[in-house]
Amino acid sequence: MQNSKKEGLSLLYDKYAGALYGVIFKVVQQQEAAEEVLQDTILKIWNNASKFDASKGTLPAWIVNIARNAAIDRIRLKKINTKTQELEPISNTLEQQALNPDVIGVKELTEKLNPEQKAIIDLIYFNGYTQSETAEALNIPVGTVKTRLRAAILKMREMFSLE
Amino acid sequence: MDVQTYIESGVLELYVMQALPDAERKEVESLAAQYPEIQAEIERIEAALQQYALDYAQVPRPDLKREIFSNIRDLPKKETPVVPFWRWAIAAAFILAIGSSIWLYSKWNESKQAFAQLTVAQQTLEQDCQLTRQQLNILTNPQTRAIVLNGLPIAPESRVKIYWNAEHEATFLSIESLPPAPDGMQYQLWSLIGDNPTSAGVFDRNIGVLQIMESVANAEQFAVTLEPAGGSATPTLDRMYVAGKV
Repeated sequence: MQNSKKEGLSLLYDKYAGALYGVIFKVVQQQEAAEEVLQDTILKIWNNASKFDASKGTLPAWIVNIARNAAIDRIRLKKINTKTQELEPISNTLEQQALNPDVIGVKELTEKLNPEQKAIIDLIYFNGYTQSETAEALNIPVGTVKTRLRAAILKMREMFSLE
Repeated sequence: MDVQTYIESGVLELYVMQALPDAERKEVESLAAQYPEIQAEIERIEAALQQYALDYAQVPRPDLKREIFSNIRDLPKKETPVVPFWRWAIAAAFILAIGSSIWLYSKWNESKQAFAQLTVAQQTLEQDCQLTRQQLNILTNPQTRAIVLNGLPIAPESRVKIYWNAEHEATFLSIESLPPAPDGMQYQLWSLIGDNPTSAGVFDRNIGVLQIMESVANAEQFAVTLEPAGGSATPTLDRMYVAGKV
């Protein structure tokens, strides 16, 4: 039993480590931290396997969310520890993205989504902002957050279905 | 309830991205259970975001897997849930009666956990299998062409095969023979139209493995050069190892 579990875990790692590591790195922006979060994520997936409900979504969607949440928790924790609880200014986030050439495929996408659309997706998806935090950071009403996000993701869906 | 307006409000996107306050999140969940259109839209948003996340995929350090797995070996086995002391006190009185139930309960929990883990493993394999089937469909498609890239003077023994389907823009590569790449260098595949090269991605020297390259819509020739790890914007012509015409 123990052996077949190990094999399952190894399989999961081979298949998804790249996707998970990519998301985690995008959030924490630092190799050592990203590797630690990846390890936590792999364990979390394994120990919480019973919470996976195939009727509520696909396996990749579920595990990518676990990785993203673990990474976001990590940066929140770091922020509290360094007592800089203020939200990072948006310009910073955009700059970091521009300065991260290691990331594969991003350039292509950046060219297709406009900066405003990309900013809103990334603030929520990779920085874990809530709708009200996003509204505050971008200085727009909550209603606009919703409509702008909707438009951005529609654009994304259009791009992906073209492939 | 105007389902369409609700879908278009943007609230489902926030739901999928886990950015809604609890009350609104619960509302979305109960509406999704009632209206299949809402559930379907949620799934489409999830799929798009998953694709977006995959766009950032990067391969972790090769040693990392071994390190993580050796850490896992060092961890204590996952225990059954902690039972508070007062329960033990009561249990002591009834220990003979319920001792066996506790044992059964923990066994049951273990099996439940094991079953769930196997489900995850099985889902992983299924996803993998689906992808392989798609690739196989492309490979066996009569429109797919096999192109042999023969060794050039710097490495005459080299041979690489490309399987290219112009309609699906799918490109696969299989190495038959290539010298090992020096440290810090990687092979890179190029598609050429006239003298115009376009990168089709870098690859490692995995002999006997069919590698999936970037999509190529149009090509008259394929060629492989040796480049600094990560690839170059233009091919280094004096380090061209193999080439072949379509």
